[in-house]
Formats: sequence, structure tokens, C-alpha cells
Amino acid sequence: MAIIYYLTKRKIRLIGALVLIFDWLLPQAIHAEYLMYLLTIMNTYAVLAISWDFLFGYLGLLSLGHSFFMGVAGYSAALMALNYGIPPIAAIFLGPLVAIVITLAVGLPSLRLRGHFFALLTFLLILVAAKITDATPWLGGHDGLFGIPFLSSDMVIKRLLEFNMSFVLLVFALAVTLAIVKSRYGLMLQAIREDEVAARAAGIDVTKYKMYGLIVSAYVAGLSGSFIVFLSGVVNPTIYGLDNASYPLIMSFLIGRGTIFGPVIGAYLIKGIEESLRIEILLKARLFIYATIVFLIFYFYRGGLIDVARQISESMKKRGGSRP
Amino acid sequence: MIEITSTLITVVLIYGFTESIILALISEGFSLIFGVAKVIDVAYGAWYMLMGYIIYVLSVKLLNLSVYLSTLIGAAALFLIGIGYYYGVNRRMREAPLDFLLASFLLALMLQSFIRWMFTDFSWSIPMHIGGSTSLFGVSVFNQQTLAVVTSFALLVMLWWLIYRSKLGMAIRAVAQDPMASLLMGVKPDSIMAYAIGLSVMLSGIAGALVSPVEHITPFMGWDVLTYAFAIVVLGGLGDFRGALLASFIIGYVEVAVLNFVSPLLAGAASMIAVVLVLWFRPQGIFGRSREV
Repeated sequence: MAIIYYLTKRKIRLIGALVLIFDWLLPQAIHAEYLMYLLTIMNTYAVLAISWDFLFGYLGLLSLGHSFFMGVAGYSAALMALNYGIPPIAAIFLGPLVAIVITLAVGLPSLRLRGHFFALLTFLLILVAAKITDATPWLGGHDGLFGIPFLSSDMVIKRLLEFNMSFVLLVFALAVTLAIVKSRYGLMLQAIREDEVAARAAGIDVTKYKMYGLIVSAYVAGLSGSFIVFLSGVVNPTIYGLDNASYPLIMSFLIGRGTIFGPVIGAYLIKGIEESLRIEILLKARLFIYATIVFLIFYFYRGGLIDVARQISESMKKRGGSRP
Repeated sequence: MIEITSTLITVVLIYGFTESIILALISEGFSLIFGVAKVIDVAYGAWYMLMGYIIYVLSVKLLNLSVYLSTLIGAAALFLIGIGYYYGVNRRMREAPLDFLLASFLLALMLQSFIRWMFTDFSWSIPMHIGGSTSLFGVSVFNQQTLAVVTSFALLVMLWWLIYRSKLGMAIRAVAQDPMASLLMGVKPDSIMAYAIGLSVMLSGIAGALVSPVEHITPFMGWDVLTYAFAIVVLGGLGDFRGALLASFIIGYVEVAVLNFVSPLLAGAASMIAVVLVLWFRPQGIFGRSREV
């Protein structure tokens, strides 16, 4: 039980950093194709979960359609590589810029409104984005786009290159979000999350900072989308689907929101178990299982597994204290 | 582009009306839960979908009950589910609306993925309440659709009467304005909110029971309903009965027109564009006022 006690919010950074180092060292030491692929997928979803947690945990903006950023960036990067011959590595970083532009055009007015409008609007965006993509021939319609170039045509170095790229993206996402959270902008963002009216009274331009936060989150989420497109070589409207929309939420809530490293661990757990075990029931009913687990944790402990651990250790301490 | 003929225009006029009145029923239920409890129920479409599967299980898969009976059982079950939903989830998260939104999203996700797991993605069909079709101005309309229009209209009138003319409705409006003050006036906000949410969940289910026999039931059909309900209440102004009614007719006709004149693939996208435009230019809704309930 002592281990659970150490899983509190502060210690989670240390565990996260250790996981990160281990994550990088493992594929460099063991050249196992499957292991590298597994870690690449885990890293990609960790990036997505970080961007979600940044938006909700630090700005209080609940996004139910985070796959929108993923999908728009993925499609843009794929089109850049296919039609304009932009090298994949450049397209990975350029694609999310399109996601920012579209997000601002659509999402900006909802920032002025109450929080739940934003939540529902993001959710409806993915439904409509999937429909519009389905109906648009130059986006490949229902079948999507094929033959997107891989990061490297050399099959031997491809896997390691992909892994290193995913690791770079993960470190980039962590660095950007942590730098913002630790700076005085991070304080402003938290002030907005806690009490919007009070933040406005304190002279903080709420809409402007929300917009900045949204831009950062859209870019980071877009990175995971444009990367995953070059990983699989295809992109179709399922990228907007409920799976991708709910994964970051589930991953963040499993461990604890507003921790940045929590979602990374959540993503590693969920994607690691899912991709390595490949059990029949997990493939068929995974969304049901995840949603149920997270709903139950959320229902009884709002703060995720960290909260569970804290409350258990606190009650243990109390019991220990009352003993003679 | 499809060539516009007079038959096509009649089709749009008639089907637009059936679509609109169903949308009105859906959006009034959705705006009821917002008006009273001040929360957005993301699982609203899931109840719609659940009703389709209740009828499927009771009338097709397990027992051979008549559709009317399974609709009644389903409606009663959904009303009870709605009351449980209030006491179990909503009341627990009353002080944090965003938490409720998240919980209802997770609940909708659970329901949808459970049904997907049990019944697969396949689109099953459920029996109609009334079979056959009638010709109306040269356009063939299913009797089921006529039933849907008549029932929705009756339910809308009853809902209006319930909220604006009955004693329970007065209590509902009082709770919507101020739960604490209504408690002082001898109204129990808890039970009133539970009734209102039960009613809202049941209305969503009844709309599902009326529409799904004409179409098919899939685990995903609830999300479209949520899209329309949200689009309509944003357009009409949240908690505005007449605004939502007018907005349902606008959205309904726009949808059916896009479906017939542009492309069936783009249905739903048009109303979303309308929402974005409204949010940009008139965030308070077309009437520019938000009334209680």
C-alpha cells in the first residue's frame, strides 16, 4: 500500500520522467520491431492525451471532440505530402497549423459562451467533419486517402525512425505544456479555470488566453494526428471517430486530470494493454470497458486513480493514528 | 445538382413537415432538461437509441409483444431511468455542470458501446406501429410517418399545457427560476427536477419509437439526434419554447432541402453550419431572449 501512497500528484512527475527515460532506452537496446511499434503507438496517444489534459486540466475547457484536431491535421499533412511533395517530417509539423486556422474560425465564438457550449460544439464538430469528409471527393470520400509516403522508404530504419519521431513529439508536447503551465501564463490559465469572473476582474483577458490555450492544444493534438497518418499510410473519416475522441478523455481521467504526466501514464496503460494483449473481448468491447471503468472512478472519486490512492492512504493514516 | 421539379418541391414540403415536427418534439425535451436543471444532457441521443433497441428486444428478438405494448413498456422504463438518472447522477453533480456533462458523455459512450457489443453494428429494423402508406398530393407517405406527426403534435400540445397551464408546470417553472425560493414556497425541487428529467428522457425515447420503424436502428443513431437538438436550441435560444419550435421548422426544412437538392451525404452538416453562424452573429438565439423553461 505504501506504493499507492507515493502515487500522489507530486510523485507522479518523477514516475513519469523515469517512464520516459525507460521508454527511450528500451528500443535503442533491443531492436524488436513489434516493441518499437507498440511504443510508437503509445507515444502518439500520449501526445493526444497531453493536449487534452492541457485544455481541460488547466483551462477548464472540456473537449469531447479532440479527434477533430487530429483529423484536420492528419488530412492536411496527408494532402501536403501527396499533392505538394512536402517531405513527411515537415508535413507533420505543418499539418497542425491548418487545424489551428479551422479551429479558430469555428471555435472562437464559443469561447465567449459558457463552458458547456464549447464541449458540445467540439463534439458536434467531429460528427459533421466526418460527414463533410465523406461527401468530399478531393478528400477521398468514404475510403479516404491512400499511398501516403512513410517517414523512410528503407524498411530497416523505418521502425526506429518512427519510434524516435514519436519520442521527439512526446518530449516536445511535454516541454511545451509544462513550460506554459509553470510560467505566469500557467497561473493565469488556472485562475481562469477556477473562476472566470474573478479572473476577468483581476484584469486577465479571459477570451484571449483561452484562445492561446486552444491554439497550443490544437497544435499538439494535431501533431499526433499528422504523425499517425504517416505511420499507417492511410487516412479515412474514422480518424474523427468516437474512439479517438474519447481516448484522450479516458486516458486523462484514469490517472488524474490536470497533471500532464498522468495522461501519459494513462495512455501507456490503455494502449499498452490493448495493443500487446489483443484479447477478443478487449477488441470488441474495449470502449464499453474503458468508459465503465472511468465512469465508476469519476463517479466516486472525481480526481482519477490519484484521488483514489490519496483517499485510501489518508483513511489509512487516520486509522493508524487512532490506534494506541 | 439535382433537377428541381414540382414533385420534388412537394416531397420537400411534406417530408420537411414530418421531419420538423419530430425535431420539435426532440428539441423540446432537450430544452426541458436544460431549462430546469441548467445542464446539457449529452446522453439525450442515447435514450432515443435505447428505445429502438428496447422495442427490438421486446417485439422481435426475445418476446413477440405487439409494438404498441413494447413502446409503452419502453416509455415507462425510460421515465423511471430518467428519475434514476436525476437522483443517481445529476443531483450528485449539481454544483458542477461540466462534471455532469462529462458523466453523461461517459454514460452515452457506455450505452452505445454496450449495445454495439451486444447487437453489433448491423442496422436492424423494427416493426411499424401502422403498416402501409397513403398518397398525399402525389407523394407516398408511410402511415407510420403520419402517426409520428399526429402523436408529436399531440405530445407538443400536452407538453405546452403541462408547462404553461398546469400546477406541475408552474412548479417546474418556479424550480427553473430559483430552486431555493421554490423550496420556500412549498415546492420540492428534487422531485420536480426528477419529474422533468424523467419526462425529457421519455420524450427522447418516444421520438425514437416513432421514427425508427421507418428507418433502421444502429448504435450510432443517437448522436445525430443530439446534433439536431443542440442546433435547434442554439438557434432558438436555450429554454425558449416558441423559439425552439420555430427553429425546429427552420432546421427541419433546411435539412430535408439539402438532402433532396444537394446531397444526402451532407445532411446534418447544414444545421451545424447554421449553429456556427448563429454563434458568431447572434449568440443569444434568433429571438434574442432566453425565457424560463
